[in-house]
Amino acid sequence: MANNALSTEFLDKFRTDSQALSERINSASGTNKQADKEEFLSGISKLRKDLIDATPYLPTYDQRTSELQLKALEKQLDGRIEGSTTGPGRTKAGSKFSFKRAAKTSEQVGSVENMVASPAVPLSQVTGEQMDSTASPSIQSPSGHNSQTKEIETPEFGFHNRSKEYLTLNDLKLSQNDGNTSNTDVIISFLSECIVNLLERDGTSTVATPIRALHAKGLRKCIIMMPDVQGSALIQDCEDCIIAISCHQFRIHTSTRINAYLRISSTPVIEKCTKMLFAPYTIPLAPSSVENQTENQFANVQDFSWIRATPSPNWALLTEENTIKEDKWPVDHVRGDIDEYLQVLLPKV
Amino acid sequence: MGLLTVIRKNRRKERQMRILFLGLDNAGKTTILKKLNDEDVNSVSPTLGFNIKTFVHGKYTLNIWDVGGQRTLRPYWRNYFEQTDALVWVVDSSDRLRMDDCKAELHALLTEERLAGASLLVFANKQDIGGSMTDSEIREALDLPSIKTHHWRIEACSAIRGEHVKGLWEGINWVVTDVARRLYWGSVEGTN
Repeated sequence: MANNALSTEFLDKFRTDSQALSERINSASGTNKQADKEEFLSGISKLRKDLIDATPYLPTYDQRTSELQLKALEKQLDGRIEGSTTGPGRTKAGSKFSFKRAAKTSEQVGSVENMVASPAVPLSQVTGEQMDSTASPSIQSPSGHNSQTKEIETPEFGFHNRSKEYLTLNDLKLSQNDGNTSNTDVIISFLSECIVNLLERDGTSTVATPIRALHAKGLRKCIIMMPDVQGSALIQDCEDCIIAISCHQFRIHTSTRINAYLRISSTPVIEKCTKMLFAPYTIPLAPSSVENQTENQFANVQDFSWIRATPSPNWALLTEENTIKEDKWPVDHVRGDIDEYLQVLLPKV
Repeated sequence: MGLLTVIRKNRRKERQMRILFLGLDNAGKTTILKKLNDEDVNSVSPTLGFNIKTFVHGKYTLNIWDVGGQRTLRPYWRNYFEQTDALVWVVDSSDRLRMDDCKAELHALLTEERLAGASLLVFANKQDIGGSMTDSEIREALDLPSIKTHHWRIEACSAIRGEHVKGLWEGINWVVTDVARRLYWGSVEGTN
């Protein structure tokens, strides 16, 4: 659609321009405040004019977020230029009550609520800068940096800092936890080139799994096979992995090239992810604990980095020929040939 | 003082409270809300925007706002601050990997001018999951004792099963009492 192309073009330009302006404001030397300020103000008003010109074809959501972006710029300018001169009428953050401000925010509440309430309405522009850098979780992951270097606090069950291993339930040593094995979460972090098989496959009948939730972080080139955990799965900062799980909720953040095989009764969520592929969980891995299975929602992925009318470019469904066949999962303990499995099965870069 | 008296009388008549549920994604905010309202908790999907539930608790009508916790949604939290009487901060007690994140987000909220004076209830949720952190571990991990600006309390709970479900109601009872003391009994207490 022509309008679509126009608005995309406008948004790209608008974002580049406002980022450039923002950088200039930040790097302003402060030697010639008045001149700087005038230059920046005229920059902002030019952007505002562009925005008004674009109104006829720009979706209301983008208008609003662009407007917010302009306001942020103005605020930044205020803080930069006037912050040092303490002009009249300026309130330091968190100090004064004013009716004017309250009125303004309540108006904002209305509009943003409407906006957030409808999933069809895009959310992206506000977080534009974050979106741009979705590509590589390894460089990005805002929370990742702190915790990565930090020791994880006494995780009860899980695998950490392993590489090139085949890990199973036995390695979790569930039984050591004073018999309270009926209910636990599993934390898996910083594994590379591992196969994790936490399926219950001893004997002929399937034992009810003790695992209620999965937390995973920092996995590289791994295959994770999980049973029906009933609870939720929360995964972050992963690359080049296959994750199969039957769960109630599935959320994955800042990850790329993940093939997810899901049996799930709610909508999977991705946020700041790229190159995600989804497929239905393969039944032979583990039967469902729920008797009257609700519909598998694996294909109704919600991308929080792309809440727009257009389809998200960050995920797709796995094609039939790229789906791992039911008998091809590395469910039997493999030794030595993990590499081979990984090469055959992992998403191709 | 005239205006204050009018406002107080007005609120006394309505006996309404506005409670804001926040926390990281996957904390269980919506599930707790459903459980409090006696609804099915097995059908909860990650929250894309927000939910509002209104229910009567004792003498009071609680308006509970439950806002999605995905990182993308967090900038929108501030749009819900206005006139909040109590903040309920929900923590996934098994989410050890993000406790730092959780602490940072909470403490950022507490500096918000529009939340000044709001009571703070921390739900150490998902206690049904073995290996979860206990409420006292979470108290330390989130550095709750350092909070001097708000009345706060931490309550271990689970919205799914076990004896911890009653923690939900204990928490709500505390929050209602704390807010009521401030709003409706007119006792002029400091916020410390």
